[in-house]
Amino acid sequence: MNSTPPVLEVRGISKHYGATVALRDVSFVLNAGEVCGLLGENGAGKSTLVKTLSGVEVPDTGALFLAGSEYRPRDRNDARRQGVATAFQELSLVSTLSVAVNLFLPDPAVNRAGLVAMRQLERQAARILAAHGVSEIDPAALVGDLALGQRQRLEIVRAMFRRPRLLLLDEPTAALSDRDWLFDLVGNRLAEGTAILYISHKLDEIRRLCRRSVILRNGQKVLDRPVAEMSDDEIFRSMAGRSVVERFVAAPSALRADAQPALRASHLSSDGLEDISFTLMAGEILGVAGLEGQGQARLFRSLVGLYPLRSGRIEVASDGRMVRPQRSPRAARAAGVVLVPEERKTEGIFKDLTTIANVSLPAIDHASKLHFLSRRRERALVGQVIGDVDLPEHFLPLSIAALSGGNQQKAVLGRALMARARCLLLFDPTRGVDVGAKQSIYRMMRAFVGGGGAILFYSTELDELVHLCDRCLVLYGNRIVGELQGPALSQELVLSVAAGHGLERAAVSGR
Amino acid sequence: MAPPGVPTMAEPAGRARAPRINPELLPAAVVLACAVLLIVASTLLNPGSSFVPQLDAVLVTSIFLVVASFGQGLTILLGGIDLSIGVVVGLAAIMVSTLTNGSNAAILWVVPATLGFAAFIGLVNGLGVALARVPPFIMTLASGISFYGVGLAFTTGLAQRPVAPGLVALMNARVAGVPIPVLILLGFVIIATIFQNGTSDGRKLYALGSSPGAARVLGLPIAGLNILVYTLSGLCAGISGILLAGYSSAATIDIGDPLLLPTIAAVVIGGARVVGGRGIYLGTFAGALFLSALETIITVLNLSQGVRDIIEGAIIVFALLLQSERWRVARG
Repeated sequence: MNSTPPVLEVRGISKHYGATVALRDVSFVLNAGEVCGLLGENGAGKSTLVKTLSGVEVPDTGALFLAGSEYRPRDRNDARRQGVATAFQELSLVSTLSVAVNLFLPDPAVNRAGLVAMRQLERQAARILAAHGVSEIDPAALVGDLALGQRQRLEIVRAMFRRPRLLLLDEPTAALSDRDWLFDLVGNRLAEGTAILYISHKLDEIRRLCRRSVILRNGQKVLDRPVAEMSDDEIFRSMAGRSVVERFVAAPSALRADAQPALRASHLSSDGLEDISFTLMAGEILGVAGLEGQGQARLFRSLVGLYPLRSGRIEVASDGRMVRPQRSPRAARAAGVVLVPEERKTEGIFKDLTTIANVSLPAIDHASKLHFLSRRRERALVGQVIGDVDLPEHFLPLSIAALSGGNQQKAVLGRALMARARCLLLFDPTRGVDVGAKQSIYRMMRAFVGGGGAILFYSTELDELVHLCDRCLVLYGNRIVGELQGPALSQELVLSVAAGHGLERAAVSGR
Repeated sequence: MAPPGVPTMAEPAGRARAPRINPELLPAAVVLACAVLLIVASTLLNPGSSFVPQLDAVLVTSIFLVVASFGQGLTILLGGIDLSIGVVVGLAAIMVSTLTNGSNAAILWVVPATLGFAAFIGLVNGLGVALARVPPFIMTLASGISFYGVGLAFTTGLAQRPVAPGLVALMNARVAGVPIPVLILLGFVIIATIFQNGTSDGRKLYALGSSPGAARVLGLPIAGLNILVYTLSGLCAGISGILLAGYSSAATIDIGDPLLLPTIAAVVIGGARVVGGRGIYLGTFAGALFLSALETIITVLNLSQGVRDIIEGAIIVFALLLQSERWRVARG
């Protein structure tokens, strides 16, 4: 419209992590006084884009321009000096320092003696917080003592008070109860001519704040249009992608009509879990869908006692009765409930052990007589499960660290079988796993429920949920907001419910 | 045309082949060879001595370190450390000499009592680390200081008591020309190796040391394993103290202090990873032997204690550098 260059121009940037493409040839512009939404599923590349703009990551190819001149931030502080401020989703505050010091990091003002003048800093911080409508946070308090919502406010104020040219807000309302506070601030900044990139997967926020939105899918920009022109369905479809590659072999459900419950959770509540109840039947694959950080990790961990519950009841089937195991991973395993965790590298594999030792660990006492290991028995025991997870035998003597992610995951799943699990809790088991291993994992899952086992299955890949699950629970804001099955179990609907939308519709077509 | 007998490589070739020998044996073997070289050198430097007696001498003087550093190795395998070893060795030595007071008859109950006390200190360490979650170096340092105080209170004003002659004789006797301590040492090395690498408990220790997070998710008995390891470490220090009392035929309360740092050094030199999860006892044994041989050669050369400490420190740094190098290559 006019001749002044846009505040930000992103020109063809790409970023790879190893073999994974996080961003592919993404371009867009952002003008002064404009707020632009950035939408996308988990893993679509939103966070990578934020990291690139805020100086955390350097793009492999492409260039960034800030008000017409090339912008190549060396690190976050350099980006801030050039007028690009970011409120990070994972909050970049130092919990052992005070609110005031955090606000002025990385370079709090020092007095003549070279020391941080604390009293003065706190007065200044109080002024800034008040100017941003935050009155309930004591500038002298330690950040670690603040509630999550307060920390998020602090992170936002910190990004805003320096009057940046470009402001990046990455999921700013994830822990915020008072969204209007943020919307007012955003309005003020816009009036001052700041350009804002607003990353969210909450469509109502995008609709309310942004005139325009960019949608990413699999690292590529798929849409860049005024929000008002698009219907919710259209947006969700472009986020999820239409063409699902036919890589799911249709299989009949293993769920029998007279199936008995395998695991029952009643009214689980905790810090970050609100009144979660569900029943997992034997022979069932029960999906769990949710955008990042909606309580799914806490739910899975709480089921094996790795996350404390305030109240609620977990019952597990044992010899035809429901029993309540003690809340520890050990007791859960004894009751047949095994978690395959999200963090494969730190919580899944034992990185210094061989593959065979990784698989045999739960049964290691069975492979020993009077504590003395019998390698022959160990081998025989492991031999019973590696076929079920398609783990080639010649990998067994190797260190597990030398295996690909897919084969590591097969070993972790083999270990769950080794533990005689009857109820598997799989948390995103196919993340970072190659296509072949994915198929092996699907096969293993189907065989497992076919044998009467039960699976609770969280995945960030909606097509997996849609094709593998008998039912799917949808989490939003730490609670179950929907349960989809049958024809209602579609990617578009899952995504829409997961974004906090279309709940009534989900309930209607769910029957 | 591929020559016959050469297998055609299937998929992730190269690295998919199992290493023929345990890669952890390599540092152990190298250190062991260095120790033997040092013993040969000290034989050559000392006219009139020959290899076998020199070897015997090194083995006998190394036994205290060899035994005590097994416990240290286990704590380091779990990513911890035991800084109370020196105190426990001293307390065990003084307990065995004070209680036997030169009488063989008392050995029968004094030795088990001493071992029980040493294991008790280890148990206290283990409980502190496993249940109270005190960082191992603080816990073991604090318990070491406290028990040292207890020992001081009991021994102040007492005349030094002679150790039971039976223990002294044991440390100086030979069977078929082989010193009994050497036989004890060999037996200990075999048992320790079997425990660490041939039992299900040993396997769990490696697992826990390797990935504490995965151990937690899998539900390994983390507290139990920690308690086991620190108790064993106390027990080993106790054995070491009793042998040391027999060897020196009298004991003082700080007789074990010079052993503490070498136990750590032996583990590190033997190729164990300082933060846990890796290392075999054969390596620690080789490290202990190496340090004892070094001690001998320094005595032969008439060098000062300071020089020994400098050399020992340099070797530890060198061993750590080698480790970090290996780590980098393994990742690359």
